[in-house]
Amino acid sequence: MSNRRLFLALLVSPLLATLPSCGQAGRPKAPAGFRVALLTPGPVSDAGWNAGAYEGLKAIEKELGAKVSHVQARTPSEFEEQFRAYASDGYSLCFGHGFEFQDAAARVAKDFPETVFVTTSGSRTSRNQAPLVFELEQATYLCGLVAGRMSKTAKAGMVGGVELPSIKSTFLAFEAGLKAGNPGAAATSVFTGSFEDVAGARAASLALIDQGSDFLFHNANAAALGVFNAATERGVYAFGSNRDQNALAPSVLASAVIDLPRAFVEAARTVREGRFDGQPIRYGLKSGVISFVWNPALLGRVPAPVVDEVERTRERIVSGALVVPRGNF
Amino acid sequence: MTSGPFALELSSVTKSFGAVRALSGARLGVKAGEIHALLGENGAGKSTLVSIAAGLLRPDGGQVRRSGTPVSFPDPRAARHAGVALVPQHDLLVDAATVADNLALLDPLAPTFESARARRARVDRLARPSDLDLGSPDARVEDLPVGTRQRIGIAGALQTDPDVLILDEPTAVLSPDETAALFRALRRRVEGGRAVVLITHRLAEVFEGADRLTLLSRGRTLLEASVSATTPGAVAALLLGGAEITARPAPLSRSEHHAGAPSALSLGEFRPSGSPAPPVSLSLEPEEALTLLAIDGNGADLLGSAVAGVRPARGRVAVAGKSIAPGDPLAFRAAGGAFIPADRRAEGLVPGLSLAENLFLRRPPGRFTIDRDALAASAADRLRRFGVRASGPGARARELSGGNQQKLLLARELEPPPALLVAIHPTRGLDLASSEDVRARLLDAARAGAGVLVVTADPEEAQELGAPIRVVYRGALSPLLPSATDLGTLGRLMAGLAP
Amino acid sequence: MRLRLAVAVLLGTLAAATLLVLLAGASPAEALAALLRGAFGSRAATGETLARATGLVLSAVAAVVAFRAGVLNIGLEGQFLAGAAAAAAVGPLFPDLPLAARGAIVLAAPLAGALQAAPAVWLAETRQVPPVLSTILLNLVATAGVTWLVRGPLRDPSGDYPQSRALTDGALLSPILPGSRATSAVLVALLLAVAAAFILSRTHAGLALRAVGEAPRAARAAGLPDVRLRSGAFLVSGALAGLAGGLEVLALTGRLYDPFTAGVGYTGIAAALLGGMTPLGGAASGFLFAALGAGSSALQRDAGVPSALASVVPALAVLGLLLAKGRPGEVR
Repeated sequence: MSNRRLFLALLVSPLLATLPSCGQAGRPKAPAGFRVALLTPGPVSDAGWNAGAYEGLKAIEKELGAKVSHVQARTPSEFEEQFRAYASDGYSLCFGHGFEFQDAAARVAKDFPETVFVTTSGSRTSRNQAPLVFELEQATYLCGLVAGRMSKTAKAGMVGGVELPSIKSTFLAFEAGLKAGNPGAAATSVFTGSFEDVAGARAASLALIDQGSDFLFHNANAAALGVFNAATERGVYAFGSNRDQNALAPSVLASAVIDLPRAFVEAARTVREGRFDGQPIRYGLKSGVISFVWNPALLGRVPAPVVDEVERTRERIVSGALVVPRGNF
Repeated sequence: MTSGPFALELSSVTKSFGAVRALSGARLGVKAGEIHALLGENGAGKSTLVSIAAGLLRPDGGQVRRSGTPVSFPDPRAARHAGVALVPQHDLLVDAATVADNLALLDPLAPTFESARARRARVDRLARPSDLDLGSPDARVEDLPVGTRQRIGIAGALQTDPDVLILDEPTAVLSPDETAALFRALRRRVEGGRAVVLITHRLAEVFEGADRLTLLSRGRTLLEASVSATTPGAVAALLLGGAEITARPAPLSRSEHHAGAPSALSLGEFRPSGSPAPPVSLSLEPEEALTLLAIDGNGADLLGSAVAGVRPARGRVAVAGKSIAPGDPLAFRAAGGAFIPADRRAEGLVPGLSLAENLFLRRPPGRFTIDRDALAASAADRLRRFGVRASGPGARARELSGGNQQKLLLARELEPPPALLVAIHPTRGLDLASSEDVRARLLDAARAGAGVLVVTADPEEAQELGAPIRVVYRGALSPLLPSATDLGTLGRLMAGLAP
Repeated sequence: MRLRLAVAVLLGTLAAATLLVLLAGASPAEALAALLRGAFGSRAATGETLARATGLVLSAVAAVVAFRAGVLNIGLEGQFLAGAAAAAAVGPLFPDLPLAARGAIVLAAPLAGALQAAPAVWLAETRQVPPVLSTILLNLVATAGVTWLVRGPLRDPSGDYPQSRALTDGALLSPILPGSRATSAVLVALLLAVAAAFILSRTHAGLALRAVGEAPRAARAAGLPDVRLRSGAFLVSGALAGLAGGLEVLALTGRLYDPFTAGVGYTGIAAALLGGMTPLGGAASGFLFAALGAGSSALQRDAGVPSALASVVPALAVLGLLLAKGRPGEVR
């Protein structure tokens, strides 16, 4: 029994040993200058969502000369822990890469008014907190326009992963573009319920093609491969979304792209130059963060008037002459 | 008998387990061509000593010599390569594996990949020459009676034809005939120049079958002698040295005041699950004892365990007049039943708990929280009264020797006094003094008013208990026999022959 | 023996961790400083250690309670999630009554944890399905359940996001150390660890439980209600893990997200093992792992060493312990 106690004491002793150091060790004096932190929900080696944010952080370091730090926070409880640690260390700007960071950011923002908290998407705002909002709709509207002009069947299909308002909003814009190109055209949407289910997305795409769709738009993340496969197999066109997916399949005509790293750099610039006003930071075609990119290999098959019309419409959106509809969320 | 160096010699061997000193300067010298008996009370260190000889344990000090050459066995395999093989008291067979597979596992020379047919053939090869019943090659070991399991263990050890074969209490589970057969086989072995070491508690066996003997007491060798140079009386005196010999119990007589009380046990059309025998009906009155005598594997253990509710069964059971559901140990206990299982290590005690905790598993003193002072005090008192030798009530049950474990179990089961006590092989593996003591306490329980049902495989024990005997053969019960029935008759009944 | 063992395990773990830090390209001294700063360097840091400890201590105690009754409950992670989900379901029902919300959570979360364990209990006692298997499978069910709940029935109707409705700020536990996230939840966890230790060693039920856990056949033959004790301990273990999940919501997150945990249930088992399968040992190891977790976050923030190191270190410690304990066996 006493041996066991000794054993326990030994286990605990490293903890006790550090206690006296609590007070004086303190935290290092916050160095001056612009410091930016990034919290990601997953590893930055994922070649996707988290990697894009990390690239943005690196670009901030390089372009703005900021001191940067990154940490992976896996659970909601850790989100707040990390925000708090950075804020109390005197960081000027903390990015939380996902809507799920906004509650934690709001709790910490209240206690640290000198630090700005920016979450990638989300809706909560305050004096020192705001989300990044990507107006991908402006690009998906252009996709719809192309489909409306080029579809022989006047039918287009849309494949979504989970039925989220943000996904439905891009479909709304696509449909609006489709009708602008051909008022008689109709769009059908299908949600597979998963962002990873490639086979499900493929089956949904084949069904849409069987019903006459000869253009497919998706917002289904990794499951997009199923959409592209189906389109290639049946010889119809598809659009990429979120990233430049033109190289993924010979059926991808164009992509609606978010330039994540650029969004981070621009947001950091806004904060450093004191232009941050507690309002959502919106990026559309105008900022260059959102873009519509043709697949150069297929551009030859697009009638020149369509290419011209897309360019003209893009300019009207940038200038504000045309307001693309988006979901209310 | 050859002279010269010993085939196997252990000298000045010491070994401790934690604070418990198991061996302090023990010696064992085994000559080629002899059957060597190793004797000693429970806890004397016999099993530890032979475990060292066979490479299962490493000594803290002392020497092991094989034909005069110092050796050290890092593991049992090394010992077997050097020609020393041990058949442990509690066999180390794999329950879920078949006879064929277990024998393959016990064969250090078995090829890494061996066909099922070759493994079955091995069973036949080992069983044939000495006409051993090893069970069907495809039978799972857990389904076999303990006697068969032991023969499998012995056959497994003989595969390498060891020069020194060590048997740890091989006869405890054997019938008289089987024991005689075993000794004949061992004699043939040593006549070929090999040696056999035999641990036993039965002096009669030693003086009939062994050539020399070594007597251990409390970790030391007290006597090493030729059997012809000593007498059973002298050895018994040494064995019992210091131990209290309880007077032979008086025969039981039913007193008046229990006449109107309900039966301690009544069984109606009672049949343990898996028993091939017809259902049993019997009743046992308070102050009455009954001995069920059977060779292992005949269903007597099963019957006893089923009565105590630890094996499933069908039929009617009433303990102290209270009808209980078969196969429910809780109901058995609630009605006033107490139980000493055959396997005290798996079914009796909780080895990691203290002696005090083991004694008061069900009802420790104190209302919700355990009153630790009261627990220690009453435990110490009980340990003393039941003669349990231990460092104190805080010692772990696993630290006790077999005999002391059994006494501990008795101390738990006999207080408060039960209405019915079922005891299975209560003295198996115990030394003479402990056995006497256990038997006396069983009879005391009957005298105090309990019905006592004892299952044993030892006809001499059945006689000594002085209670009526029913022999069980293949699940069927013989008529009541007086305890004075002669050994020959009992032996024939046990073997299923006409008396 | 025990002392040498503990020293060896700690030194070995330290050495391995140092090697990992070196491989990650940081200086060990700097890393150690960051680790200690992150775990205890300030009131906020100490608070983080305490906040993390809540779930780990409760999970460790839950593992101990089941193990001592002879049940390997690997389902703590799922039971934790069930408790969190229950908390997220009942908490928002009382938007204007913070105390009622707290009360409902403290009742519902253990209940949900026990319910999550119940199928495994039933399978074990009636169908002899080993809990190791059934609880691992139930963990998968719970994980998928959370994914479904935050997108389906529990989804916050006011937003776009797969998360449950939030507790009101009034219902959330407030810090016991001002300026930190340490709440009274950690005291609850400690109290329960002490209570478990007391019950196991000093009460009738605890003694019976230990007997059933160590020698089920002997305990049954001695007339102890083995099935009831084992099932009860299993359910209590689930309830403790469920409470841990509920307190995570009540003290830290305020709602249910997907994913919600990063293996607190599994780390709890490791803590219980390292703590010698005693409630207080498990609690101490839980604190140790919490400090490691908080410290290794700082390691990544300040020294750029991946925080995944944090989950490697407890694993190394437990492996080291098992390695040191499992000396080439002697058969008695």
